Amino acid sequence: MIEYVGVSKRFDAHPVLDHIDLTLKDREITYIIGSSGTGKSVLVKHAVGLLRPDAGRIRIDGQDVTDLNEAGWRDIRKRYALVFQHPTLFDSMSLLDNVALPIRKHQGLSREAARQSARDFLERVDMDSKADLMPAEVGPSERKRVAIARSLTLSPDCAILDEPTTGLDIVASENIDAMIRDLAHRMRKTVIVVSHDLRSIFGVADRIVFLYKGRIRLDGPPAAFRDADDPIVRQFVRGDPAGPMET
Amino acid sequence: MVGIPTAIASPLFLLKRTVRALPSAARARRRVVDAMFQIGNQSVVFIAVTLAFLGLILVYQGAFQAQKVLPDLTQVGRFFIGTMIRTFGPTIVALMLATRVGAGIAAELGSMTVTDQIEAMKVTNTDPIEYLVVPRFLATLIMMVVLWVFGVLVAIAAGTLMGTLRFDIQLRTFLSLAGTAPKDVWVGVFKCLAFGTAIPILAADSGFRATGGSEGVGWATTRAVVNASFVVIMLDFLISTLAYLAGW
Amino acid sequence: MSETMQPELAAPGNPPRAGFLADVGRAILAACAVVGGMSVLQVRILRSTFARGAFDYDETVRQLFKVGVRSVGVVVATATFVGALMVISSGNFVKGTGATSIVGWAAGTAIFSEVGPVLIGLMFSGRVGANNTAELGTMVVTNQVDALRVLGIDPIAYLVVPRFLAMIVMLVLLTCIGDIFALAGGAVACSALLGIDMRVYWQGVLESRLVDEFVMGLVKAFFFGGGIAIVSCHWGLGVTGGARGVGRAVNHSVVTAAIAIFVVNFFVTVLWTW
Repeated sequence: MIEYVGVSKRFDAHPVLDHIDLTLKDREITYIIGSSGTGKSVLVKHAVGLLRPDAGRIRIDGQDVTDLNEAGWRDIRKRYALVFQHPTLFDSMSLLDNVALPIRKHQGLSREAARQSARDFLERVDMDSKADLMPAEVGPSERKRVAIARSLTLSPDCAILDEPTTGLDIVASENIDAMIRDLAHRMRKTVIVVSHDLRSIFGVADRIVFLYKGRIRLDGPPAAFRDADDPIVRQFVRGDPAGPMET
Repeated sequence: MVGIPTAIASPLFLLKRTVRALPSAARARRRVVDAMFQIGNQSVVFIAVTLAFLGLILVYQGAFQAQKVLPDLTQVGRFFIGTMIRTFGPTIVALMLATRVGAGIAAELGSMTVTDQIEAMKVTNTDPIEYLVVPRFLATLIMMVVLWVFGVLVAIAAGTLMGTLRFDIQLRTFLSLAGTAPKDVWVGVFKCLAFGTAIPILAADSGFRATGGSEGVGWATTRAVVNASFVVIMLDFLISTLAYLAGW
Repeated sequence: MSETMQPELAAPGNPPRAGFLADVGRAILAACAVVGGMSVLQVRILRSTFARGAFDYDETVRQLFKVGVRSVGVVVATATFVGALMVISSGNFVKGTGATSIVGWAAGTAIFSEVGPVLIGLMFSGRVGANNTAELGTMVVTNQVDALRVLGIDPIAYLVVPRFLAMIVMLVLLTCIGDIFALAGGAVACSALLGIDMRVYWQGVLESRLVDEFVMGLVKAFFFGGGIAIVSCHWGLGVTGGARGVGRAVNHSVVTAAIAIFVVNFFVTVLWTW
């Protein structure tokens, strides 16, 4: 469970998060949506300590983590795995070694044993046949799947996916959507997805948090989102270029 | 990695095209002066610090070793000044210039290359050689000589402090040009001109050959430093040998 | 990396000009920020090196191999030319005085104690240090360093410590090898150009008993290797602003390393011969 209590963050003079109060519960698929530059990525980066709030507190599973140091964050990051928007594979290593690295570091296995185990993880995302290729040799959706497999090696309780379908074609996006459902329903993980891609939201999400100008504009199940009276939310759902929304 | 033939042919080709484009500099004096100012600004403190420490250590070691052989330190100063002008001055200033200015040129042109700005220039009929390389080439060439004079003076000043304060050599004995013949100065000048030609050409060549994003620019910058430094050492060897054989 | 490690020298844009004194002040502050940042990094490296379980044997071996392979060619070639250059430079003096027996001693002393370590260090910095800055800088701008952090892996222990150790070990080794090649280059120049029998030269080298100078050179290489590692990691991890930022960081890295080499070189010699 991740709790934000009055969290604010600004970059230079520009406020990005403005007194956010939000509790993300376990075992739910939560979509955090909003147009570009509304602070969605900034919000989730606070949950793994890549950014620190200017004001407010953050609690994870009841523990106040706001003032934790790097070493303290390391254990939390094993439970809350973040997959970046641009799949950040280590480009000097094969796909297999990318996945094997955290296994080797955290389970104290030898290089070979870690590779064995990494193969299983690649199989789960259907990438085992390309294990020995380099990141530059595979497509963007494949890189994304490997990045997700790499985070799963930590056996996290919660997977945080930043824009997992952005820039992918429809078939590849459907693949990722299926994987998100699999993560939540079969592997019983909490899943938090940052997205501005409406196509997949209604079929997948349990809960939707809509951010607008650094504040939470709407928080509820997909139905509440679809039928909202709020003109800004409605404009976003329809994808209408004209309306009250500032972009 | 680029094969050896390209690594040699490519800068030579660039040198040829740069020399051919040199007359265009007459119309772009302003850009040459700007580039000279930038090079001087970038490297004056850097060269002052490194050459000062070079002067200190050369006099320290020279006097220290001389003390072992014979207790006569009157030769240290003149020997130091002669070597500074002919050997260490040109070489070390050139290595520092390769490090500061060469890397700078490669980083600048490299990031222009990977962001397609060079292609954009060609499309608008602006010759990148004329516009980007010629001013930097002339500026580096001139500044190499200027910074050599500056660097040698700084090193001599630092060396004099060491000689007079630590080893009690008389100022007048130390600051002697008895160990410096006019031919030593000429060898120094000649080296400077050779280094000043090689550094900007190798750096620009390396920048133009950058490929693929930030990693490519990093590589190009690295390559510029290594290639330019190595070529400086090689040219130094070559010129020193020729000068010696010619009885200079 | 943490916010304290962002180097201040690379501040974008041109600050408003406020006269000479302000410039000097700014330069001093920037230099202090660099030195301070590197000291913090040094402390973190030492802490991570000796932290239990953090040492990565595999990665260290990989780095040793990479650093060595990458630089041995250029170091050997440079050293050979430098050795020859030293001998030629003494040519006029030897010809004037007829003191042929002094060449071996002079070349050996210069190569072992000063010229060898400094020039090999400069080339090593250009090859390995610059490359390291570029590599780490690219990892920073493409979020790969943050990816390590979210995987619960300490970037200092995983990325920096193996490079730090590899550069120290390899530069000491390369200085040994380079010294030998420089002496050989000197020998060839001696007989081919100065017309002095190679045996006279080698005799001069061996009879001068330059063990002390040789060891001092290796001590210098030890400090240069550590210094180049810290400088290059500091600038690499502090990169901001895409491709241009990486190029600029490489440039800052080699400049800082060159200053460090000359300053450290001086103090090691003075302290060694105290």
